[in-house]
Amino acid sequence: MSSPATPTSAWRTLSRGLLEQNPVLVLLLGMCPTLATTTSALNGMSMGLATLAVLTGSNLVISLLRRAIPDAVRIPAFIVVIATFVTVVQMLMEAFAPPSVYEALGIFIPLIVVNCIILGRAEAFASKNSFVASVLDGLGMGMGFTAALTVLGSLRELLGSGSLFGVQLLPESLHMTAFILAPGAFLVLGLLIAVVQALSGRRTNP
Amino acid sequence: MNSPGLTRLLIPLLVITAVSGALLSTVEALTRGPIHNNRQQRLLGSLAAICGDFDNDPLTESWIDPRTGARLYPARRENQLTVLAVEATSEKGYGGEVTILAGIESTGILRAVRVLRHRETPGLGSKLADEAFLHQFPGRAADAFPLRVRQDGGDIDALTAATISSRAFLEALNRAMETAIAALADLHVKEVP
Repeated sequence: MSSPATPTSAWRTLSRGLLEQNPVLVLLLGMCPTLATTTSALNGMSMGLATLAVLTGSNLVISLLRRAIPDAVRIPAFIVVIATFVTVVQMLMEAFAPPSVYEALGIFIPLIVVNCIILGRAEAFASKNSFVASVLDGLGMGMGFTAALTVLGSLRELLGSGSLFGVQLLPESLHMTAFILAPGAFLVLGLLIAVVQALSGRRTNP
Repeated sequence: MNSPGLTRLLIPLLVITAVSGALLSTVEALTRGPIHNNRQQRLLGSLAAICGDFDNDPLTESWIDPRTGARLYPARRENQLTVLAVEATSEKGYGGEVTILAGIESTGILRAVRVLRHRETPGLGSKLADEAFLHQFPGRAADAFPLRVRQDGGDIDALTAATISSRAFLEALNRAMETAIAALADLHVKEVP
């Protein structure tokens, strides 16, 4: 049975992952892979899409199994399901995906296992909601994740390498390498979170 | 200890891990062939890019140099060795191993070099694989080696803010050239009637 007093519409389940409950910028989940893989717009987007696929799949499976998993062992069970899913996706991709796609995404797929968003949504949503709602939640959160990573990657690529999706835009004298490295990642991410909070009128509780 | 309660917890976990294990080994068996083929294809693609035309099979004729651990792939045309491709690795990359494939002509001149595998920072050290960095290597003769970055007194332009990656690349490349020269010397000794 869903937790909110009013039934959540399918559209709302899908759309709240984009901005209102964006997993990276609002829920503050999955920070580590976010910071690590957004060195360029394309890398950010690729990681986002790969995570979207895994998140939707794992929400789907866990939602189907939710009545079979006893509450006390749910976390180990979720982890086994998620890790198996990611490993299977990686093996299938290395075997059957077009070589250029695998080259681009290959290094990101194992990183998805440590992304808290997957376990977070399994625990908070998929284990307590219907199959359809869980799939929609996975899609919505995945799209929000992809959007956040693409924006973050674009900003870091523009400031750090002067390019966008590989297209050179700024002369080398304007490149600030710090933005490709960790300090720049934290700075841009922090500012993005602040902007989203300002836009949605949220206030932190004192 | 509540025995029936423990069993009630363990059985679903056991079922899930057993099914996962079975699924993983099934998928591994299914994909083992295609994955091996894809890796060979990538290697062949790199070999073709580096060695130009050849009519033998460098993969089956490859061997490992016992001194440096590098793998050599001979490319031949009409039974004559044209290019010796050497796969060499440096462990001193920023993120780990950097593996390159270098094509050295029988005259000792570096024909081409490609990065096969690396774990450098995407967007920074990963530019080792870009033409903008690699273009400075083809045409260099064996006596110009070992190559060094400008910071170390040489004439190679390192990647901006990725000197460690650049040095690792050069270590692998120098190792490749050293292996190739020794191998070419051995082969010439053998091929002289």
